[in-house]
Amino acid sequence: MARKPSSASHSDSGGNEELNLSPIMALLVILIPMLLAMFNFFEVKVQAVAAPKLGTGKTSKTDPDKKPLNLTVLISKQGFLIKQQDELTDAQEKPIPKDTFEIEVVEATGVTTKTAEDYDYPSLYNRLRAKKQRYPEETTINIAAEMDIPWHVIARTIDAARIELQDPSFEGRERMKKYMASEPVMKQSKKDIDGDGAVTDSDVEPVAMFPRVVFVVAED
Amino acid sequence: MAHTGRHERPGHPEQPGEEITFQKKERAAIRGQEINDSLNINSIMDIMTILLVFLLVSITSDPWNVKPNQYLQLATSTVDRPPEDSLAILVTKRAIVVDNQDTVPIECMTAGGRQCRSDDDYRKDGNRYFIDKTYKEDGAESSFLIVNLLKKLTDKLDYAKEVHAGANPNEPFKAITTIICDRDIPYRVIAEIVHTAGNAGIDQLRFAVMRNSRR
Repeated sequence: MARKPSSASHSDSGGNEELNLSPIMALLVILIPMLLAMFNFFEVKVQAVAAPKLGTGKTSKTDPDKKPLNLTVLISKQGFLIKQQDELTDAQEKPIPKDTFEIEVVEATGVTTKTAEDYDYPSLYNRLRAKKQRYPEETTINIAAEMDIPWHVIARTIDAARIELQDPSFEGRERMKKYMASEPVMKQSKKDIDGDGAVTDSDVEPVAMFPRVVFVVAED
Repeated sequence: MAHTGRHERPGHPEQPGEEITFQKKERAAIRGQEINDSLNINSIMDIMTILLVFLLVSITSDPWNVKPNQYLQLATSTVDRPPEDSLAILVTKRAIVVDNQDTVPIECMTAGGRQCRSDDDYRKDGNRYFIDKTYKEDGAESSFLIVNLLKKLTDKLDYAKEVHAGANPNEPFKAITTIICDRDIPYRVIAEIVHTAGNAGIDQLRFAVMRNSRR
């Protein structure tokens, strides 16, 4: 409503009137939920992978006494198969078939247990750990998969080969649960992991098993 | 002890007619109070301003702010390596995206052999994702080289090299790409992208995953 000039000039509000923050509040109330919706509450990390090799290829190493292990995990719809240089022609390793596991799934309603068929990552880890103990110098693992194997299976396979876990092996029906909850073995790092500007006792990193991953594609 | 019921107050009218009148008066008094007394919102303003600044800084400073949707769900991993400054290739269930542009479409066939059309089709299990042969070298189904992607990556890489040479002439240029890939994309498509990236001169590959403490 329009005020008379006289009443406006004689109003007692003067300079003491408080700033009306309600419009700014309204703006913030809209902006903050919008930004929260844009915000990611998960961490994005990266897995380094070397460029793929087409076919088995020839080794570039010239030293005949030091043949590369050429450890390869083949992922098929049935499960895993591990091969290495001296086994490429005749399969000696037993395949690791898929199995049925009871897995705890965290949902909005709580933790539920589901029984489902899945790749036997714990058994794959057991075999790869045994390989690492036999060939401690080897750091490379080749990953080959059937063409329709989805990326999440490959990512979990890389995870099983990457680092050493505290449990030496995973056996029995509960092995998937134990494997999923298992913590990595940590060692003192030579790098400044925590970013405090110095290498201290708190700078620890996981003990690597096969950190160098190479994608391999078999030629038709 | 706090009394909340009106009937517990001393001197409160007992008759129903009187009660209604009293309620009206009480509400009117509260309304008047609300109008006359200015609400002190300074503290809430402070909190909200800090929250706003924090969110703005977090969102703008994180180049890997990937928002999952039905076409892009990241695979999980326990890997702890942070993302680096690199060329990002986004691989959703619908397209390969470079520099916010759909570069190559990804075809989707349902388990029944029908082309995915609706959003519901993309949610189903058993879908087959592939790149049409028309986008590959010589139009060959067996080829691993995606022509459109190769051109796009080569252009981007040339530009990045020029920028790097201008800014850091003494440091060697590192051709790194980070592939942000949907969890259901098959190995064939990944191998084609990786092979094409290799042909474009990219020698270091990173795959984005969602960090999970359980493997």
